Amino acid sequence: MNIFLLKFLDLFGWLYNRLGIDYAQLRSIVDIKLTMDNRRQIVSYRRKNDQEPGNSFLMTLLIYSVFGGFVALALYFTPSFVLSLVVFFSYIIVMIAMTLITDFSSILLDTSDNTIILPRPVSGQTLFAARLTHILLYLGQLAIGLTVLPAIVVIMKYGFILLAFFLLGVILSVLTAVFTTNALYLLIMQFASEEKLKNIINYFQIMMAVFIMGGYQILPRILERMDIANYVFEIKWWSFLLPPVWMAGALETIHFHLTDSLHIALTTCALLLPIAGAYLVNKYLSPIFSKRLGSMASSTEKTEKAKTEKASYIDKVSAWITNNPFEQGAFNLIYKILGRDRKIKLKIYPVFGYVLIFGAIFTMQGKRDIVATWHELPQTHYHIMLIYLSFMILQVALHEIPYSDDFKASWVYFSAPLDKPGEILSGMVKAIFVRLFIPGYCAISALILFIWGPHAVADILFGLFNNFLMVLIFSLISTRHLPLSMAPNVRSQSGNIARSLLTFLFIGLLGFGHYIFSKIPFVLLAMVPVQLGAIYLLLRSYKKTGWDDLTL
Amino acid sequence: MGSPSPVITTINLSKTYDAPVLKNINLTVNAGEIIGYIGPNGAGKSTTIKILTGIIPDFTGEASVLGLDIRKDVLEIKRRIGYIPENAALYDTLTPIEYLHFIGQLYKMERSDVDKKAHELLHVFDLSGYTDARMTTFSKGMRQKVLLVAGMIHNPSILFLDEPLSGLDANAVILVKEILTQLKHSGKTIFYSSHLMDVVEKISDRIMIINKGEMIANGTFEELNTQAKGSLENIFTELTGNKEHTHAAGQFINILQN
Repeated sequence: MNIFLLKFLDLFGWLYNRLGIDYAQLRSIVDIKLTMDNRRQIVSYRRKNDQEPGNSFLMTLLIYSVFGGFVALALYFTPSFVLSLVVFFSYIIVMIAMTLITDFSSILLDTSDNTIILPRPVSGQTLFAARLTHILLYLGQLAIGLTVLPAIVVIMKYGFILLAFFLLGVILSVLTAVFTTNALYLLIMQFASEEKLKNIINYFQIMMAVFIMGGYQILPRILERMDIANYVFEIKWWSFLLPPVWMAGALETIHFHLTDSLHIALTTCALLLPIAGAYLVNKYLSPIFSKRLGSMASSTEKTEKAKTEKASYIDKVSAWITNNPFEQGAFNLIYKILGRDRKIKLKIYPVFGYVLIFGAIFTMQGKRDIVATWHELPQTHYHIMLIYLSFMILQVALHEIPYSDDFKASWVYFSAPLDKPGEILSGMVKAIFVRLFIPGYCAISALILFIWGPHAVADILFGLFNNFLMVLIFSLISTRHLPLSMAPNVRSQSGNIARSLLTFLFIGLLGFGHYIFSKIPFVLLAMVPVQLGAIYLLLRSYKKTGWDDLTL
Repeated sequence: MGSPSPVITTINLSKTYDAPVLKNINLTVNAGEIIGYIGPNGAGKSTTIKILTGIIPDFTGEASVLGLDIRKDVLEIKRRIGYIPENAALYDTLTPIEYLHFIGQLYKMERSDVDKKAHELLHVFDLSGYTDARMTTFSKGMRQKVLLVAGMIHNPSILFLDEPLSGLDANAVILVKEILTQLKHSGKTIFYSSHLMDVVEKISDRIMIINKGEMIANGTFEELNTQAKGSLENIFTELTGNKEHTHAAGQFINILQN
């Protein structure tokens, strides 16, 4: 695969040399980066096996062409010429920009190049061009894969001549996405430290995860309600801010031979702006980029001071809700890591979005009129569903917390004079509950109180304890791992399906019980002491987890 | 030394991040010298080396290497010097041979030449059995050996080493010391920073001590001995103002016991 891509790259060798870039060096840098990509697991589709896949190029194309299939269908069934193409080009640009942010931010900001390549006789321009080429090659494959099926639709609907311009539009869209994302990075880097930049990217990634999920779940439902057949796409002034509209407009200009000023302007934008952007980024921003990266590696020496005030507040809370030093230590550790470790945040935080999305989907299920549904909500019992849906937060967090890149640091559990590792586990569960669940639950409670009014207070209180009860049951029947003690790539999910089903059964039962009792709020409140008793007993049993009960 | 020709010269070399890191460093290094560049953590050793190797481009003052201005001819300088970084940074999903091929390509060396040298050099470092294993599994010492080879494979005239001995076992340390001495005899210049005082004391022609961004001593071991007495370790603590070690250790024990 690399040979194929490099041969393709060789076709442009003269262009690089003319731009003052050392092509031989660029080729070897790109070569080595591609080799490393093959050996690395990429976030978006994880491969379990460690082998170098022989035909990963074709595999990648195949996977992406399946993704492209969705948008090809949209292209086929949308009657409006401009709308269908706006959808397609938006999809391409969003996919490319997203891949850049999620898979490539680590590569773009990789400072190991500083110590490995910068001391060698490689000019900053060549290094920057090599990085960009590497990214473009990868994105090129992505774009080809995504475009295969839509291209067939274009041939079927509009013929071969438009196809040529359509493909040109795809290339320009990729350029637009790449240079916009790069410019965005540079802009952020001007104002933020490396740490801050990584945090911002982290939140981007979390939002992307939610958007993808939301997009697949919600978009089809919205389209169902829209009257696509008679939809007319009007070009307004703000259309000029949206690159997909340039591309679609340009294709419309060509296909229908339109010569009004609006269409000519869109076509000009489509052709000129991506290329001008490429030129500007290469000319003005790439030197800044290399410089910033160069200083990034050296300025890591200054370490940011952690906020001590907040920490002492947490120390008080943890002293209050834990009753032994091991448990308190575990609580403090997990509490802080849940707020700081970017990889763990990326895996857990999207669940907050999922809860909202599923909540919206379940509430609107099978209903046509959104406004009427909204007004009828206070008469329904959907708030109970929301209360139990928030258990997802706990479930996902418990599922992810055993894994960490720093799993080797877990030697402390083994070297400490620790008799019952259950103390660590209960501290961990409490930390997850306080750090993740309570804030999420507060937000959901606020929403519930806003819609259903004060009579839901009993439900919220009862639900809170039920959720804690459920997380204890879930922890007791799951395989028990010490927190942050396992390498992320060794996870095995076998045997957990039965346990998950059992958990869902419990949740269902508790939720149903809640629904029955909720007719009379006093019963709910009267049940709270029973819940507290059960929590006490389960927690005591969980704390007694010995070394033999752990799966290490 | 007759009329020694300086290969490294700096005039008022300074560098500031948020606070000044280097303050008016003036140094000259002659061809064929081994310079031991020492100082406490955060004194500015790595920053000096990174400026002289052209990795950090913005600094104030003048600096020239091999008679070339760093600001103007950085690529030519990089071609003729070698740099071995401290923090074992290499692309560890590659095998040592793949990595060295890559490095060789950046210097535009013949592939067959790189191949031959890489195999032979790795053999000298006892890594023959690992030439085709991915470096993810390598120990720190093994990585350091690969880095040493990668820094020297293009036969540079000046070698910059930042903590070159970290992670190496005793035998490898002796081997590297011997390599550095023999390199010097073949006319190479070596600029090298380390925390291992006994090694610096033994192999350096000249020792420069830097503290808080300022050069506080520069001379042969004998010359430094006139400023403070004893081993280099004693001189170092004397000059960098850390005479309180015994007291600090006592305090440490006290705190533990209370």
